[in-house]
Amino acid sequence: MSDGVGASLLRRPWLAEGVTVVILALVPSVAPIVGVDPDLMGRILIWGLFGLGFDLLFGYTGLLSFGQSAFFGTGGFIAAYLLTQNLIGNVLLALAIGTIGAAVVGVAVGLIALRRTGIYFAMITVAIAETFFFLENSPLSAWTGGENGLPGVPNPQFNLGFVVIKIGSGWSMYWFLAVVFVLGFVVARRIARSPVGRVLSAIRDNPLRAAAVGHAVHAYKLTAFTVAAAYAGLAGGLLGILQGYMPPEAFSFDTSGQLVIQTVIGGAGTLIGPTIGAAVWLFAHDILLYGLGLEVSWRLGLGIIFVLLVCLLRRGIVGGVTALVPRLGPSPEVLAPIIPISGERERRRQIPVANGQPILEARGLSKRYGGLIANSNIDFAVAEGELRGIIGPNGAGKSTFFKMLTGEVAPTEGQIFFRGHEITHRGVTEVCQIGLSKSYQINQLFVKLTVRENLLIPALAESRGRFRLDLLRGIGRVPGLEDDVEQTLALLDLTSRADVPVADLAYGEKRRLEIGLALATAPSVLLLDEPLAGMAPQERAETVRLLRKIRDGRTVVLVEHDMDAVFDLAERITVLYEGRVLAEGSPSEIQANNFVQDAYLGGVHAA
Amino acid sequence: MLAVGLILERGIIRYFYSRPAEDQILVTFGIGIVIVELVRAAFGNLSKMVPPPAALAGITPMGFLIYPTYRIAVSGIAAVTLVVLYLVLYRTRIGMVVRAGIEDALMVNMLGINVYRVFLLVFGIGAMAAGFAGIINAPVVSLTPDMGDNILVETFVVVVIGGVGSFFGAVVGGLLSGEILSLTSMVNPAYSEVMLFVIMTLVLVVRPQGLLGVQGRE
Amino acid sequence: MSLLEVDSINSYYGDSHILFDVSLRVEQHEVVALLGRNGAGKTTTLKTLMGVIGPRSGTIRFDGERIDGQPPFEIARRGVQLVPEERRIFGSLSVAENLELATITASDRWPVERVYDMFPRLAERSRSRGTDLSGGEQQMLAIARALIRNPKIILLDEPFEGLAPIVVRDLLAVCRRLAEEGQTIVVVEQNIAAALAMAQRCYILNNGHVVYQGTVDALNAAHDVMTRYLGV
Repeated sequence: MSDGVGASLLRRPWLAEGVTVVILALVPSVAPIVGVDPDLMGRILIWGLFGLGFDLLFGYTGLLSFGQSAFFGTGGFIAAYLLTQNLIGNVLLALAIGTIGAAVVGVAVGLIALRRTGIYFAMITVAIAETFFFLENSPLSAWTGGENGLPGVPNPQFNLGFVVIKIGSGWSMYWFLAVVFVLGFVVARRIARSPVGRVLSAIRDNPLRAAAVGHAVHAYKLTAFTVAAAYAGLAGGLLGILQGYMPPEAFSFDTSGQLVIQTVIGGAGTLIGPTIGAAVWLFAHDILLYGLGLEVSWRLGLGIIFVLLVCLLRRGIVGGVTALVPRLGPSPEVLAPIIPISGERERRRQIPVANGQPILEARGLSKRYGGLIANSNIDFAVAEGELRGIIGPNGAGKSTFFKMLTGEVAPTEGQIFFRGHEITHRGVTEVCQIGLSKSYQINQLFVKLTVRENLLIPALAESRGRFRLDLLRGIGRVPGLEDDVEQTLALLDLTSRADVPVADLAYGEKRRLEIGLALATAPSVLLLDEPLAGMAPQERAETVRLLRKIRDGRTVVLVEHDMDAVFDLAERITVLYEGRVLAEGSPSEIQANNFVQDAYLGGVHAA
Repeated sequence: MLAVGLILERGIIRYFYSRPAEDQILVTFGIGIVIVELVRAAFGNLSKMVPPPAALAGITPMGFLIYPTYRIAVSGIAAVTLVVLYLVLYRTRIGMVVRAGIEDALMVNMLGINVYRVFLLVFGIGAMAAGFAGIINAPVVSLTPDMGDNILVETFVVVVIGGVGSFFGAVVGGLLSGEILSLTSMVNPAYSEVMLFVIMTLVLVVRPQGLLGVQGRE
Repeated sequence: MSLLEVDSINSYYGDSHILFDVSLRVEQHEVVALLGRNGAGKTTTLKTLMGVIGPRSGTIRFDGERIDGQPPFEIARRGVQLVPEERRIFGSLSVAENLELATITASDRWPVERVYDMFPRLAERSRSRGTDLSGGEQQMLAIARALIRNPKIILLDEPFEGLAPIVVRDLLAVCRRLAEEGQTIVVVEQNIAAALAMAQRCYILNNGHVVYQGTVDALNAAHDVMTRYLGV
């Protein structure tokens, strides 16, 4: 990704997977020379698999969970129980059931935990993980073996008809784990590069805007959470098989903590980071413990490295490597490979507007915050294709009014109609999906992505709806996506800057992109909140030109303080004052209106 | 501990005020591990039984039950400490500045007070209070390098239930949590901690600011 | 030498260029009004003066010494006080505590009686918590809190906004009294009438540039200027 995380190695198709397969294949030859045993390598792979799912949750979506041990243990104990009780003979089947079980538990836990964010979310995950640990130890100990765990987990065996492959401990177990790991890696990579993966990155960056451009953020978060739980469950099951024994420590907080530390050390958001972190952890443990005989120091050393990385090198080892070696940096092939799919795009079906009916209408709209009245009884109607300006002195209630129109804020009273249908309490995501969206006064961009990647996010919502579980679909296979993005880039005059990260854009370019994000949702009504805010005169002129281009085929409503621009652009102007509509009319009518002049120039007549 | 807190704040924490919540969690988590390991390195890994001071050892008959004297003393010390803390926060100038700083650090700044020194002090006092709690708790639970881990989650539960940003919330939360633990123990001792987590999760989902908390702290 | 000399400052909000080579000066005992529409940069100017935003270029001299780039608490100690647009009184503290907090680092302060004399309503409500005050009372407390530090210059950001006319009238009377007592004031306002009723000189900002400066009388006579930059 152009946010610096992950080498282009990870973005050329199949290159990363190929390299991984080669490295893993070479390990059994190289390892004995360096004195590394297969058990250690097997553990690294299991932690790596655990980390693939966690990285999708934390690195990609930004959700820091300290409770992944709950799913690790659940998957592991389900599989181990089935195998040791001889309920299922086939190891692979038991693993699959364990994984599915962990995923189901993941959905349940996610529904609770994801209601909060940040530290509260983290705390809930800790509490739930501790609860699982406790459940394993006491009430369910009949099934889980309590503090003894479940011994006697059998080795896998594959009956292929002409030959039976028995996986014993040693390098054959390593090969088995390596195959599972590679499959898991391939799937995780696909997920990361699917439309869902893109939306997750947007959620990490700016969840508010992701929702405002039409994505069902909560549903995507739950998806990431469940995927992470599934990977955890699979890894847990494999641990039982590797050891021939399922340990209760799988449920401990230390397990969750170790996963977090390994991911940060290796590099979050890279998928391969947790595996590298696991290698560092386990090698450090071996070297410091056995090599130098320093029992205490390995945790101390790793703890110090961890703190230093969080402070200084937030992107971990992989992030550090890609920063140092520019050749491994981002390549321009963001959507590579794109196999353009021509053909039927599911365009949003628009409800036609009856003759004379306004496309957007508010009736009696009011908003009260306790005793403060922000908007009072506003009647407002815009005809299709109109360019309407809204002006008013400070405190007039313009921002609140806009927020009610888009569904960000619920009105205290009144109704809003779009194409004749009521949309009053539908929420910002749904309102965007039916064709009404807004650009913000203060830029709400996806700052870690490039221009092109930014425009992709609303385009994905526009073509796929608020939620689609297309985890394994390549991004290049969403029909018409590339064309839409190119068109928007051209309209914004940002084609030459398409692959520049947002942080490197000039302010005027960022403002244009801000408008572009709203534009890319293919709205029929576009609200612009102070599009000219903070612009130098040159940029103003350019943006006014852009606004003229945009209004073709759309209805535009803009709030602005730049009077020259408003009077130049707008066909009709609404004046808000102290939360009410003061006047409405053509620009010349407004200029001639004494009440309006008074509102701006008058105010109090000191007694 | 005051010194450790001050150094940490100056050296590391202050750079994290503007970083996202996840980074703050990670760095404090990491620092916690480092400190625990340093203690382990310096003092060894074994747990130590610490006897209560002679004057407070033994048991006290209290009419209908007999209770270890030291635990009564701990309750007393905790109560006194809370009262002292309350007086400092609500009846002194510096406490007033801390309360105002929590509400609006920039405005305190504009009124001529170096608000960063205040934050430094708050962090240092927090560290000191934690250290103090560890000291008086030692005879009760015995001394291990990671004794903090056990109480950490319980501390979060107390703050969450009682309410973030409220002094009385912490007190109420503590008392309530204790009650939840004891009442559940009467039914089934093994479930008492879990009950605490269940209640905390419920509170977080239904009323995230807690019983007496100040809304608006995500 | 003017009390406050602002020379060609450029201020940004993030990377949004708000103030373009803004220059102004304020003499001691003057009341200067800073006018302009929304988004013109008036509040940004005051924030820059108070050190909340550091200007990227240009200088600010107060009482002969440079203050640009200094943190707000240093600038406050030199005798500059800002009464922000949102008032920002401490809701969890009482009126008396709000005032007391302001005096902690004030080298030279008003006796609290003088404050209560100027704002009798606050005397009545001295033990009420900040959150229990009405809008007008909060505004008075915000100004009183600035005044109790005996500032050399007080910056008022839209003091009359959102107040009922009768409250505005009372507040205006207080401000005029302060001016008569020699207090140097810079007032930012969209309420033109109130601003011009208390000021002697004014500057008009438009899109971050100073577009007019002159006496209030001159502005009152220049209707076209008023309409162009302040009206519609």
